[in-house]
Amino acid sequence: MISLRSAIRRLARDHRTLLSALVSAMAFHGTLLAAGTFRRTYDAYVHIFFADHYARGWFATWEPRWYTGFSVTSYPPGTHQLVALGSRVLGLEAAFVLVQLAGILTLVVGVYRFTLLFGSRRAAGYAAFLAVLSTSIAEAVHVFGQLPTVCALGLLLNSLPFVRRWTLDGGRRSLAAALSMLAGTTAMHHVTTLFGAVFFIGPVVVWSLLDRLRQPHPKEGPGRAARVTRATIVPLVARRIRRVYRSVGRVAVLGMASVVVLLLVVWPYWVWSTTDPIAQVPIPHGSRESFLEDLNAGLVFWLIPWASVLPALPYAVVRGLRSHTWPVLVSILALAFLGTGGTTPLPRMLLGEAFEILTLDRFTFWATILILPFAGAMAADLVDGPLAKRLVDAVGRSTLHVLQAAGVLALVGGAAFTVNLTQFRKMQPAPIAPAPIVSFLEKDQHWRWRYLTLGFGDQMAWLSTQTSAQSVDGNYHSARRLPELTSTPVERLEGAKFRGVPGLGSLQQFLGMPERYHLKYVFSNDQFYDPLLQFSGWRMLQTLENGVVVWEREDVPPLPGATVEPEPPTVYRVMWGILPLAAILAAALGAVSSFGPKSGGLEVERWARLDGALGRLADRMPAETGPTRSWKDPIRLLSRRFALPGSAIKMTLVTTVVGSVTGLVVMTLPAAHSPAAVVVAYYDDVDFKRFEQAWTRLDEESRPSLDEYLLQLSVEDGLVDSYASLDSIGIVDERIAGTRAQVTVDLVYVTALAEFRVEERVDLIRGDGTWGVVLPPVDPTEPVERLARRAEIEFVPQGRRSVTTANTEYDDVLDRPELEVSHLRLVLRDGRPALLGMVENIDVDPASLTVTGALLDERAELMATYNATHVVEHSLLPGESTPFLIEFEGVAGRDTGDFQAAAFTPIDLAGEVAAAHLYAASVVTGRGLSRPVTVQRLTVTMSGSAPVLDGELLNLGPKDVTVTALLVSLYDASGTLVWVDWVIVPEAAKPGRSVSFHSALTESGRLVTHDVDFGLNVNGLSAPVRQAAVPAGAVPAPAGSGYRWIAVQPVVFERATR
Amino acid sequence: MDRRAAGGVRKGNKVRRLLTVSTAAALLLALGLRLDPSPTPVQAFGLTVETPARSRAGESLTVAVRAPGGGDAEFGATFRTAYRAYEVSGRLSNGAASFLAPAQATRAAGVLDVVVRIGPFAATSSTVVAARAVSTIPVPFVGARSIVAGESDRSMAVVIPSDRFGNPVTSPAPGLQVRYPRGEVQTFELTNASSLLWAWIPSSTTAGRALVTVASSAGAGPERDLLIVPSDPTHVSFTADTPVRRADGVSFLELTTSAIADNFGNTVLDGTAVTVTTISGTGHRSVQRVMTFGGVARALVEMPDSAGPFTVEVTAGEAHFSQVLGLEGIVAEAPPVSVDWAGPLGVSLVVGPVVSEQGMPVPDGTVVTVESGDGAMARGWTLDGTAQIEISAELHSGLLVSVGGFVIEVRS
Repeated sequence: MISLRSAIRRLARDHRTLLSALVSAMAFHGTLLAAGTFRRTYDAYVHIFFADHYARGWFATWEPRWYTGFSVTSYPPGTHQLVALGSRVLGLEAAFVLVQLAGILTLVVGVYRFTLLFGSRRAAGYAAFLAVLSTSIAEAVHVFGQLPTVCALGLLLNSLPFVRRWTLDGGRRSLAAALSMLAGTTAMHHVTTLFGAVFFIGPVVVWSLLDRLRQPHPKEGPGRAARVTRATIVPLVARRIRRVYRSVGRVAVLGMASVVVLLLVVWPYWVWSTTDPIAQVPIPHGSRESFLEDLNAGLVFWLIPWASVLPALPYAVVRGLRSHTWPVLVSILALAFLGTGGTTPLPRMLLGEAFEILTLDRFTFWATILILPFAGAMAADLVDGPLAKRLVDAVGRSTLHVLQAAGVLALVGGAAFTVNLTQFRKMQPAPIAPAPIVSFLEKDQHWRWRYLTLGFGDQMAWLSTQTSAQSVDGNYHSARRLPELTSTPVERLEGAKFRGVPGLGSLQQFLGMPERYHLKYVFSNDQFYDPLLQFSGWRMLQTLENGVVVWEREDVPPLPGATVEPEPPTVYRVMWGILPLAAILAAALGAVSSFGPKSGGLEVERWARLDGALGRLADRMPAETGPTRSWKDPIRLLSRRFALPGSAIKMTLVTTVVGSVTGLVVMTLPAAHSPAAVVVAYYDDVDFKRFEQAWTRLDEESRPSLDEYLLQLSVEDGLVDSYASLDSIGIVDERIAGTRAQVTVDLVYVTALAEFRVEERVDLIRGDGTWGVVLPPVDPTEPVERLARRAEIEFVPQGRRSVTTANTEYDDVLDRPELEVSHLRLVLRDGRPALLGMVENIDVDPASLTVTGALLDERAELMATYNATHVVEHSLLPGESTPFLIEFEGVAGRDTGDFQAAAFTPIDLAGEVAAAHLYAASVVTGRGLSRPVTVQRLTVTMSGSAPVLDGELLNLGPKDVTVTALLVSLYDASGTLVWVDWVIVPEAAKPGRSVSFHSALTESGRLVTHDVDFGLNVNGLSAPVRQAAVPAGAVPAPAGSGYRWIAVQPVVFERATR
Repeated sequence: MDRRAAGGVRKGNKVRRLLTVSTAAALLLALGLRLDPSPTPVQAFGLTVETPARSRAGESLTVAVRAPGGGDAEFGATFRTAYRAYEVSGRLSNGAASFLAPAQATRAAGVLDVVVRIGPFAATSSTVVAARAVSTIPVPFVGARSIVAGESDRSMAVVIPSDRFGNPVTSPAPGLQVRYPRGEVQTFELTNASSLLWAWIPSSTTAGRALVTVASSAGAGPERDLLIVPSDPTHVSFTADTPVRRADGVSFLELTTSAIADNFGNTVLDGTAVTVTTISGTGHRSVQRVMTFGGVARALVEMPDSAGPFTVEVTAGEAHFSQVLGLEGIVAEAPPVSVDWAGPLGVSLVVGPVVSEQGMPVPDGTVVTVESGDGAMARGWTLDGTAQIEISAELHSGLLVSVGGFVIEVRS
């Protein structure tokens, strides 16, 4: 047995450059990983979460903590199980670092071994060094946190020499080594095996077969055919077949064995994928964008991975075309082309539906690895090879050394830039300490409910590893099964805002019907979602030590004590727990073995009869003289006619110059100076918080000082100013008169509540040849009261809590406040059903409401159920009432795959609605009871056929009212409630200040009352529907509106101190 | 036979002998065990068990077991109470045994069955275990926690008196004593229903905290609260804070309601919602929700910017009060209006100085509105008595400037 010391000694003697590269990799990547770069990556914590799963239960395949449960057989477990094993000693994070580092080292060795197939050890050594400094690998490891991809590719590359050896010469040890490493690859990342067979193994096999085709058979006769004739065709074909048939047979054996290995190692995965196929709306990914339009995507998914090896691409083209390695070149070009994503339509056409599922950056990643042998050869040439000699002749030795040093610096700089990319461009929120959240979940058995994180990025996976509590969300989108998730292009609910309206629509459904998922707690690290939580009936509970705000929804039932975990049969679980790790162990043994002796004797005997027959046919070749024709002759002719630049140096230079010029042109495009362009640029600057730049776009004559401008901006607040991101700007109108201009812009903001459109008129003045924006005048008024005094009542529903180690009682030990429901109606607006009415808290305790509607058909079967989400006041004072409206929404985006702008998906009802049931429930609450806003100066006028509501909100409370929603109840002449509109006032109202609002209301012609039987259930008991009058303060509706009274009730969101 | 073969035979004989001796030893051991002298088999037919017919919870209970044929034997005994069973074992000596029942088995009131078994034979006996006297005066369970004042509403009290072992004791039934908010004490008879004692507690006309307790000959037990809350408010009125009411559009009028009370004079609880509505002379309405504190609600109402009648309505449940106030204007005369600039994109107007009757500039923030003939509207505020307003309209279509009830027409 070879000892480790002797192995290292042999490595140092025969493969010194590889050893140096490995040491460099450990120093570079190892140090960075140990320093925690993986914590800022996209996927590292997901893999750690999976590892945590195996650490908790090795043979368990059901993971209940995400997505209401999913099967981990949906992802090959190799690397995760390795981390889980290591975590027993080192902990999860250190074990992850160790496995990731092992993967990188395996990859470097793989690159070295693969490059050895091409030629010299020097080139292989340079390739290994290039792998260490590869921006592609650096990005995959330190930006994307790709553990399985890196590890699996390392094993795949290590298998290639054995594949070639087996194809050329046979040998059971070569076959065993190749298969063991393919098994290990599959155990880690089956996709690498699948695509690797096409893009890595395929070219090597073709290359090997071509080599074998060119090499004469040992018993081949001396005859040659100068040209193909009727007499020579049979011997020629027989000769070629005789040269390759054994190799072809071996390839077939390898192919079949590989398929068996691929199936066997992760058999439960294949079973899962057939019984539970992934049927989801594709999730957008930057790698599928056009890199010319989305420059950020181009930077991350194309330029950075290619940066360290792009200059080698022309070299690879020239060298590949001139050598037998052209199959590898073809593979590189194909991968590079597929990696360009949506820049051209061709990858989409080639990949078909798979285009929308695959993340195409992996093709670029593979291309940048596959090209490393050429890059290594180029480096060797540039150091002291033919290229270096030519450069010395052309520019002198000193310049060459400067160029070489610059090249090394560029490589090191590129790698350093890439590993620090997450520092330059924040891709994750600041680190969040999970301990306070874990502590909260453990306290008072809060784990009995599900939770949801918002604004955590991939750290939600790290939180999940720390607790056994369950989340409705998750970080592994392939495992999503809830239709609310799979029908939307939303990877995670916690980052819903990054998917615009569809993402928020999906989140709204979860927050609006939390009891369906036993969702009681939301941990928010992003105040963008605060308005949505507030208006959906969630109440801020506390701010934890780590700054995360806990929101709670009252009256949500806990998870059932026992849940069914759909585990597969025991044999599958045992296979899943044993086979992948066994495959990795076998791969490790195979990887450390060197090339074994070939054993082809048996095969000659086995195929002796066929060999003899082919030999006899081949020997019929007549002996001729003259030049030999080759199948490549026409290609050579073409290449002479359409000559490419004569050398790799020229091609590299041309590529560099063209690229640089293009970049310069793009960067120095002249800025547009029209009024509309100035306005667009101004809003763009404000949206991206480039306030100084925005200030320079103001009219110089009238603009305030920069400090004053910044002050004015800082006091602006509201839904649009504080909780929105600008989605688009459209120019509605542009009018220019002399030195004055007016631009009307249509601003579309995405907020957590809904898409929000604002049409604004902007005045501009031209001075010194440029247009400047004129700021609207600032409100000059001052608060009337210098010191305002306000009395507030606070409620503390403390139940019967006592200091005890036993379980504390829950809030519901207090009697549920009594409710009365009136005006219950089922109305169709534009054909969509909506259940509406009034709920009054007739109790003396304040109540938190949950109002659920259900539609039933003639057979009393449930057709649809939904909650009153936004259109209700969820917290009611004693004696207070609220209108409510339940719009029965379908699963968001189920049919269309996308949302309408209003983020509402109409429900598809099968049959006629015969009855509607309402379930109103209440618990005593002490939150959400502030009523600081007065609605004043209310007027209703007609604009066309629609009534228009105007008025002001006056804030008489002590806090800023950031967002106000108006519940506008519309009554007919008989005093019956016929509709409830929901109007958002986006501007904040500061204490003592007022803001105005203006909104068109629903036209009465759009409403049709649907007569059905009503059922009412209040706090679990059947109750009658009461009659109630029009509430106090209702405004008479204008004639022709179709209404008689209009009542307005404000629901407020007061900014909390965070 | 050579020596090696002979040695092999000898070794084989030794092994055989060893096996034979071991087997014999094992048989002897087994026989020895069987030959251990056993007691005389008991004649279990006619097995009887005796226990006292009556007992009290926690009292020692003697069990006598007899087998007519005499002899010794192991027996098992099961003690079945209403809650669970207890198993014990014992041994008959000369066909008889006497032992005490396990202490836990005697604590539960009800029927205690004793079953004794010997092999296939069994005998049973039953004892009625009576509960002991009530150990402590029980705490009543009261629900609903709050009821509405006015005698028509009621709550329920449930009492479960028990002895020191937790056995319900329904006799003699204690009384339920309720001390109402006004101080009067009423005692209610508790009804027995399946070991539970219960009684209705009617409401009183006075709201407040009633105290419910169980009273027996040993005294009164711990108290429980019952809230008697006011019923729907029926009476409300309000007063305004100042006799001078100017329609300046910026200052506040503070309204204080009277104590809001129900039909029995009970003031409503803190936090009860009250709606305050105002209607200005121009028909503009405002709606404000406030809550009561000490039975009284306060509301701040912003003054309208036009003089004339100003209606204030206060609503709390069924209670409603309305009053019309008169407001004075603050602008003394129509202010001058000049055009700062005008063009196809709009007009900029300077309105002012706007002065009060005292000849002083009106308060900052006094609202000035401009309307054009084609429907465009702009709003501004005075600063030091002057307002500058831009409107996206053309001057030739005519503009109407409104401030403090004055309307000024502006034309090119």
